[in-house]
Amino acid sequence: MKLFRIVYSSDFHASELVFRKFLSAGLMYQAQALVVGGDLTGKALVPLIRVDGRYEAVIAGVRREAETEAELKQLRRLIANVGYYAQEMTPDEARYYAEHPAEQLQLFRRGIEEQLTRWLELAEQHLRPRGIPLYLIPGNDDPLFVDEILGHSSSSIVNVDRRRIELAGGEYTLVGLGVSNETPWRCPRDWPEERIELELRQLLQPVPACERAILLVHVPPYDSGLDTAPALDQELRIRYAGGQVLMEPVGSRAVRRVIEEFQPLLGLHGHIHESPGFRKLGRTLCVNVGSEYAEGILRAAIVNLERGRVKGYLPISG
Amino acid sequence: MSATQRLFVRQSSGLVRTISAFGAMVFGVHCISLSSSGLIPFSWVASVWPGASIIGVLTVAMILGLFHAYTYASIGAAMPRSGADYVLASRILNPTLAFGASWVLALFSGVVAGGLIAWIPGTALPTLLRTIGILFDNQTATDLATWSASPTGILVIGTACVLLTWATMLLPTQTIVRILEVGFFLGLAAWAVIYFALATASGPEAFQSAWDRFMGAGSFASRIDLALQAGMEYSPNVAIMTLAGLIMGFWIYYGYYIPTFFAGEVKEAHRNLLIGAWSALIITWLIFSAADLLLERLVPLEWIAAEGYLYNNTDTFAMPWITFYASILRPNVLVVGLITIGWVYTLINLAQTYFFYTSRIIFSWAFDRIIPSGIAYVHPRVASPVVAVTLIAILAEIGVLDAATRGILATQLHFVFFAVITQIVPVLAITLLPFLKPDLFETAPRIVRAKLGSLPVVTLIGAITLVYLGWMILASFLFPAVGGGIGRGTILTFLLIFLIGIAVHVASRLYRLRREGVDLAWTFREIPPV
Repeated sequence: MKLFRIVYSSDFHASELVFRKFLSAGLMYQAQALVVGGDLTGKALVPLIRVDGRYEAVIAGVRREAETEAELKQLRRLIANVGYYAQEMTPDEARYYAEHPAEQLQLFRRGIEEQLTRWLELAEQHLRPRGIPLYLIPGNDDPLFVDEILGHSSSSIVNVDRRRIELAGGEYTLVGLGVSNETPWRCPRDWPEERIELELRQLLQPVPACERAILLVHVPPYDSGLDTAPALDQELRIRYAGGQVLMEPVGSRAVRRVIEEFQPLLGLHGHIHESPGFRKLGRTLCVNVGSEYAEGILRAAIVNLERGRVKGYLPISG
Repeated sequence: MSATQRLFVRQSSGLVRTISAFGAMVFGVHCISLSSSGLIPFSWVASVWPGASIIGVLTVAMILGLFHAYTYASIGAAMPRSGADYVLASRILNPTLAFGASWVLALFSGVVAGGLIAWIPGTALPTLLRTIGILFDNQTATDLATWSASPTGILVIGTACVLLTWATMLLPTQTIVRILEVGFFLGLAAWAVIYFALATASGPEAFQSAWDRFMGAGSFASRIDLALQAGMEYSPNVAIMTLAGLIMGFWIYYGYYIPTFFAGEVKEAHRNLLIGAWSALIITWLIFSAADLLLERLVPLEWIAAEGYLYNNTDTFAMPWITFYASILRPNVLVVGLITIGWVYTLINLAQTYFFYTSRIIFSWAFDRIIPSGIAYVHPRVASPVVAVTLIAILAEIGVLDAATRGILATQLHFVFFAVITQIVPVLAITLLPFLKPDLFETAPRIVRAKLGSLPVVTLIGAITLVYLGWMILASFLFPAVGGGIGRGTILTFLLIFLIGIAVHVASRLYRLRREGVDLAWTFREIPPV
């Protein structure tokens, strides 16, 4: 069989720039498939406050203003590129939303739905003519309602969450699960380890040749070097010693157990932004590309598959 | 605006980067070294430029360091990841050139770690043992000092210290952190003891009498005459002080910027790298300057210069060490013991910081797949990069051997020359960033994209840093007493190591392309958004 090239990335967190770079990378490097490991949605919303006919916003501590339409468009683009949602409002409305969390969530929902829908259209527009499919899963930070948007899949955009998909004419099987183990933040898709293990076993057991399976799971395997994050105390504060941050593995033990037992060809993961890398667990090559979405930097991996094995791989960023 | 909410945040995970500004400062201070660099102003600077104000030299050197620190903090902020200097230069200028420069820096840093370790038996231990020998009339300590400084002593003790550093770097990160923490406070405690001894001396007569008690009657009064007879030219003027400061920056303060090499682990790198580097510079400047103020209360600058001159240029027995000056004023076991422990311990810490940052540079090569990823293997139980650390230990042992035999590398003396040349590449990259990669420049953190009028600050300060680096290279030739005498052998050594680096990069690229179907150049290629 000929070479099958995957371009993989994860954790865009609503960064418009990073998502557009990702699509571009797929085209530039002539991928046969684009794969995304979850956490598509953003974490924050910037109020664009209307004051005396102009707009004000604070982005990363810097106060910015826009007076003309062009400036407003540029400001919106800047906000989108760092992974925030922008919402125009008056100072009174800003105060209102600050005091009403439920209504605030509705603003987030509107922003997430609008952006995700547009992203899928953009992907369709650029990938379909080249016949490149986009496979994706949600991540633990993605609200449950995004399933509805991702569920409107076409032939070129497929939500792989809790599914098995044949790749390269059936030579490989892509198995997806868009969750993480439980985090201190109690995110929408935090699952107990037992549930993750059960789900993964149910997904993998019917696969006829696990050695050609590609496991796409948002959370990386426990203590794999792909899951090292700052240790937190009960107040969610980072733990220090001697001025240094204490680090600890925070990945999923269930994912590790399943990988060690089933030994798929490839494990594609995200979730822990500060722990990118490539690690072998037995014969399985596990990948976490990390994330620098706030800086507008795409972190991705090119993985070449050939004759049922990983022929080569390379991290890319730009 | 202030009355309204500036940002709405929903419940989501909040994993963040790691090392704080304080952590970056601790690393910087350890890499500058409270021990080895603490001796330089009094034993070396004063003797090479007799008459130059020590505080003046420290200040000029520190101010130049602030510019250099800003440049390196910008490099780390622009590319906040392991080996930020290499990563930036490879993306902005040329990957092969960037790797060649990074290769030289990392290899030589490993060897210099050994050179610095050799300082323990070569200088630190003999100084401290001689102090004990003189103070307590202990011939065994004096004999041990002589043996320690011999080639055999350097090799034996140096190798033991390399093994100790290697072993500690294999420990879990939390343990290493505690070792560094203890070192930081031990170093400060040693300086506190020195301050106490100097500050509680009643005046110049007390120092003179203490000196004569241990070094022989009339010894104090004879030092200046002896140095003048030996050729010392005492010239207290501002021009010489400034010149010395312009040259000594790296010799005294090298290391304040090393968190840039592990910028990927620094929390809010755009802020904390600069705070950490500047704090490290200012804190060490304060520590050394305060010591000088206290010392010059007791002895004139000319006498300090003379003692250093005698040590560096004659066979006269001399002890130009601030630790010795403090010890003779308070000749008790506790004072000498605390200083000795603090000095040796922080020298090991110094080597540890070299091991740490060099391993991060190696990580960045492995992450770009230029070298086998196995070299960046992190042991699952101790979570330490065992292969990289072992390789660095081998390089460090070469450094110890070199120091013991005074071989061709003469690492300590030539390191500034090597380090400065390799730094030109990343500094040039950040200087030209606004023009070569305007998109990256526009989206970079504020420290990088700040402008003075229409001129990017990184370009302005980068240019100043480049001039400074150029001057450092020139000074290595103009002042062989400082630069170690850069001869043909040194330059050929540099070129050879650099060319090997280039060859490694080219060979690796060809291998990946043919065997794996991936081109390493893709790693560095700009990806325009659709």
